Amino acid sequence: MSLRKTIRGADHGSRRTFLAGMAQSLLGVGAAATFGPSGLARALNGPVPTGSLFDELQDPQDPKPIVLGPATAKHVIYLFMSGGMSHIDTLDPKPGAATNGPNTPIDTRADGVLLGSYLPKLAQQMDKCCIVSSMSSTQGAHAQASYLMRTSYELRGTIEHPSTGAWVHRMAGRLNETLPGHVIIGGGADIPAAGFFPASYQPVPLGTAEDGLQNCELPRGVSEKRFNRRLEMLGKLDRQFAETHRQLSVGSYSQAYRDAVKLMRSSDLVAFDIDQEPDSLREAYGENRFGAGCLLARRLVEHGVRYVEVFSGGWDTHSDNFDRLADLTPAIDQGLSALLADLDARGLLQDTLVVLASEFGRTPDIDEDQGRNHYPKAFSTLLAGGGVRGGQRYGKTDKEGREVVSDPVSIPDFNATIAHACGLPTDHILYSPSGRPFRVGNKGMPVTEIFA
Amino acid sequence: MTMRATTTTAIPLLAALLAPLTAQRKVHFERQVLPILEKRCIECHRATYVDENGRRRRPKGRVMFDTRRNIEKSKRGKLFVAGDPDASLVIESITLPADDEDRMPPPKKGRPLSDREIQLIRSWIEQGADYGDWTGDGSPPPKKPAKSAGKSTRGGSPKAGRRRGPNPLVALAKGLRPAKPDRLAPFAREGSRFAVRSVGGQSPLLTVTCCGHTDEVDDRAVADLLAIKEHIYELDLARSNVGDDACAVIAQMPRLVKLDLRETAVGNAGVTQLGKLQELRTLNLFGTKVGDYAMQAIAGLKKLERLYVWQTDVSARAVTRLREKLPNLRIVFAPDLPEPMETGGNRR
Repeated sequence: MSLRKTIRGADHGSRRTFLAGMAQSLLGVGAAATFGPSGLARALNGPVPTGSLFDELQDPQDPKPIVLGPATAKHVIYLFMSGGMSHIDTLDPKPGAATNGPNTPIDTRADGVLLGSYLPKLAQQMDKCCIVSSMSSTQGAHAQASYLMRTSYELRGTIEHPSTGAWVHRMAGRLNETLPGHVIIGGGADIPAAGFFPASYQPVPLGTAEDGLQNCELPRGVSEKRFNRRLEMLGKLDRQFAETHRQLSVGSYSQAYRDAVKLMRSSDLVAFDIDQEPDSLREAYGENRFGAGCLLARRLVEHGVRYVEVFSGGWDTHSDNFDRLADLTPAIDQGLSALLADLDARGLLQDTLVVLASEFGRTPDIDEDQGRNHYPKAFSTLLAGGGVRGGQRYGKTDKEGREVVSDPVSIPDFNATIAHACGLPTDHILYSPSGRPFRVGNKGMPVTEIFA
Repeated sequence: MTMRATTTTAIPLLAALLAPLTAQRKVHFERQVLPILEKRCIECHRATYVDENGRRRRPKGRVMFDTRRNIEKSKRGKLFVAGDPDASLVIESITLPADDEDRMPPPKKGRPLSDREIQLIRSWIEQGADYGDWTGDGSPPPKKPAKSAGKSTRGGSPKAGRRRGPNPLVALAKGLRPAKPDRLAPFAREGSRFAVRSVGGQSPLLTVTCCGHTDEVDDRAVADLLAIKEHIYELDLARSNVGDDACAVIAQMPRLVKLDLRETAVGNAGVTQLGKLQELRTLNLFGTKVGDYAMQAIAGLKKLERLYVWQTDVSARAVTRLREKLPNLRIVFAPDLPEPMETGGNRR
């Protein structure tokens, strides 16, 4: 089932679609087998008898959680500015240069680190942030560049690569067995997700944060007792088939049904409900899609979800760049600032890497339509928390923002840095079903200098 | 006499002044040289392996860079001749003219090495071709005893306790044997309320979380952890049903460095029992019932680096007093939230 269908299922489907969607997408193969017992097996340095039916059905090269050190980041919140965020107007302003445009860069709480005038609230959080100004991509079209940014690999016809979120989910394992390991809020259906990884690593897509997770209550007229009877019957019907066809996908389905029911009945379900938050906090995050997405991301992380992505669209400012940024940036400025402050105050920022990224930057030259166009050669991202030392700018572009002049960071390097923050070995090889070797961050070198 | 004294002192002084100009800073193999080898050499020059098409791939020219042993074995150890870059075959082959067929990496494998990369390798050889702790195959480094972990390893695989300075894990785990399997086994069973993991690498220290089982974890459940109390480095009881009585158990964990009690019913009576946790560096009490009284006990936690007390009864005055006693402690008392947005904003 494609991600598109899964989204449809999660948003509007019937109970049956919901459960089926679950089977493919969220709560796949024995979470217990990927986290608890085998994680412990590492501690024991030996096999642990778990008695799980699915142990023998496990993909042989598949997961034990693969974590090397005491990972600083247990969670990642990845904010993606889809369309190409203008680096000069936001994270890498160029005071005095013609390319800077009409706005005057502003001082921040970090000495010597300037921001574009659109981000006054973020300026007050810069002591927590590290801007990476020396990003450079090899792709200049949206689909190819977004794909590269999210997977570290180039878009090809023959294979679909897993996103960094899927890598983290698979290598680090789930933290909360009841909840999905990877959630995407407000993302399109065409983004790379689990790629060639088993279906159980598909992220859970949520259309909007306000709606949360749909289809979690029993259908009208079905009592708890009746529902249990139906489940029992389903189990009976399935048993013979499952016993005859002892395969990964069969096991994965039955496990997913059980997990879905477990989630429906779990108190952790409230993680998806931002209405539980006080109005004052919802205002602080901004009452718009992005702000609500950030708030939901915080709730999910708090309940143990590993990787949450929040999408923001509309950054492809080919014309009227400055007017459009004036419209786009307030929600980002507000939501990201609130997220950083809130995570910090709850003691979660230490364990959570927050990433602000885009597929590329925009041209330093401003065209006759007051627009900026695609510019992969030099752009910026932002990292905070998860052990990153705040208040710094890593790497530099020249005084007009055209070229990277020091400490270049490639897209693979950037994703390897995210993996590194999570304590994952970037040299660990996982194989695609056809036996080809792949690594998280595609052989990129983690930028270890930015960590405290 | 005076003259001579001046000369003898002047020479070392001069040398010292010139040193930064002539001598390079020490090149770190794993951090600076290995990434170049990994990126540009290892693809063709590594021990025989079977590729994705099932074909056996042998190292080109019988040169291998994948482990220290293989590097030293290749070309009778002439790849890198310690102290003598010009006798080192690697330097020769990476500096040959572009059209020479022995030039490495070959043109079809991308750009030649940059001057900076060549200079790094050259300097590293000049400085004695020291591999540090790196062996590439997990074996202990020859002769020199291993330095303690804690070095940044950009490019290589991050080792346990990489980056951030001396690793507190090493000292903390000194003399500690791994927990006995029978003590750990209950936590591996299906339905265990705690997930127990090694902190990573070979460390016997453990991290424990009840994430996903918060409803089932109360003061009595926490007593199960006594079986592994010596080994617990990090304990996450956030949002669970624990209260003050759990603290009596927690206080018996001598190696506890990170404790998360956020959004639990723990209050003063519990926290005052935690004074024994002398290794504690992070204490999260966000949304608990603690108040000023508990801050006295916290003042005795000399290694504490971070304390979270937002949404508790702890007063600003108590925070100020605690700051005076523990000036290096970061106390997070209230969030630094942005003002709400002005009218409108967009609805994206």
